Amino acid sequence: MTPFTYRKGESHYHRLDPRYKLIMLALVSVSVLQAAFIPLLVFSAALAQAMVRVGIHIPTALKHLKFFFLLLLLIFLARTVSEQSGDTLFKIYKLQVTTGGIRLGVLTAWRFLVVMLAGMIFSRSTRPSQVKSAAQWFLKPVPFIPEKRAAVMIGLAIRFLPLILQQAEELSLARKARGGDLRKNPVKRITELAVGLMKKSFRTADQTALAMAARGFSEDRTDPSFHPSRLDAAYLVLTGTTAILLFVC
Amino acid sequence: MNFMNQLRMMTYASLFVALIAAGAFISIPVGPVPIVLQNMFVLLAGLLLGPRWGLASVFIYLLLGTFGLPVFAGGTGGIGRILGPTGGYLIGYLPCVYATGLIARKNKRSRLVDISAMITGSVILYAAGVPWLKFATGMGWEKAFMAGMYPFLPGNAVKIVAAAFIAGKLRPLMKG
Repeated sequence: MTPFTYRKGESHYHRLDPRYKLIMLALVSVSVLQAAFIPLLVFSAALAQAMVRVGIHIPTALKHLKFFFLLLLLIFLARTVSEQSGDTLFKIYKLQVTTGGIRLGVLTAWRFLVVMLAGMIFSRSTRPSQVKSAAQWFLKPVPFIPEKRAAVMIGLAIRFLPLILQQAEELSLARKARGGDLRKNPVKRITELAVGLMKKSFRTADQTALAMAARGFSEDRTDPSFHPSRLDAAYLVLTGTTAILLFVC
Repeated sequence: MNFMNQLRMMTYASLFVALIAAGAFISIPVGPVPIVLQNMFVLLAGLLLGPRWGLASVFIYLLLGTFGLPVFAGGTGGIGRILGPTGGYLIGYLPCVYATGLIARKNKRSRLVDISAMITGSVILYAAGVPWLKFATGMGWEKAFMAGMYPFLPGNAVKIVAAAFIAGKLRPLMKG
């Protein structure tokens, strides 16, 4: 089980209407990318609290994200060397590292981390079937898009994602154990990992298609129904206000 | 296309949505810089699913990201990323996967055709991404190419060659 896998719970986040949750997630992901240090710090503390409430064990989640941290490090480095404001701290060849660069690097990597953690809370507290239903509801008024098929694809993709991440981790460890890391040829390294991963995934997809057919799957199903409560409206207002504050402060 | 085939293609397309999203988190260290597999999975979606289902899988992927799920590179999501400086690359995935799928489907299957299809797809991707980056950030053409294309070309070349081998190994599996 990865931190992105849905887990049953009794928290407010679990009980919210998935359509409201999607709107809230969209608001957060837009505003966080504009947030300054102090508002981001306050929001991160609130997010950590939310993670605990939905049952995410923070140290375990961080352990699962070690590849992601490598990417964050690259984002940090790229942003650090691209910004030249402030005092110069040191120089490596033509690359100049400044206080302004470090500040921007930390802020950018932190914003990315916060967006990712908000997404983690969403996927941890929302059943794939609920995401599917909400997506169908949002896509219904859009012309030329078969909303039911698109919704089924979203539901399937959300189910496949943690499985793929888990399989990738297992394959990576298995390759390391066999000395695969010592291979220098990059094409072979990518091919070995990707073929192993995709073969496993295709087998899972085949089994899923068979299981769906066996259960009489049809796109012509009853539309999902939603019953929003006051709690949904309260959370939406709270998130909207937070998003505005993150955007303007 | 009969019902079962259509169901299988829909499941494969959903699988590719997940693979493209997971590609943002799966990195392979090659030298000092890790290679992220996201755009390789986009190209593979075109090769293995064809233009129509490839387009569908990229569309669903972009939709998930627009909703705010952390599926874009760097584990981010949200409409802000689509409208931001790198949005051109994300939108460019749509014509990229379609062109790759179309060229691979219309021609006789060979590794050379696959590689040509992916090169065309990549050219389309940069043709969408670099101008968008230029206009979104206000940088000049030279800087836009320096920041948004040149550093990624060697990694892209490696991924295209690897994807051609991967497609060759996986096609027989997809025929069931």
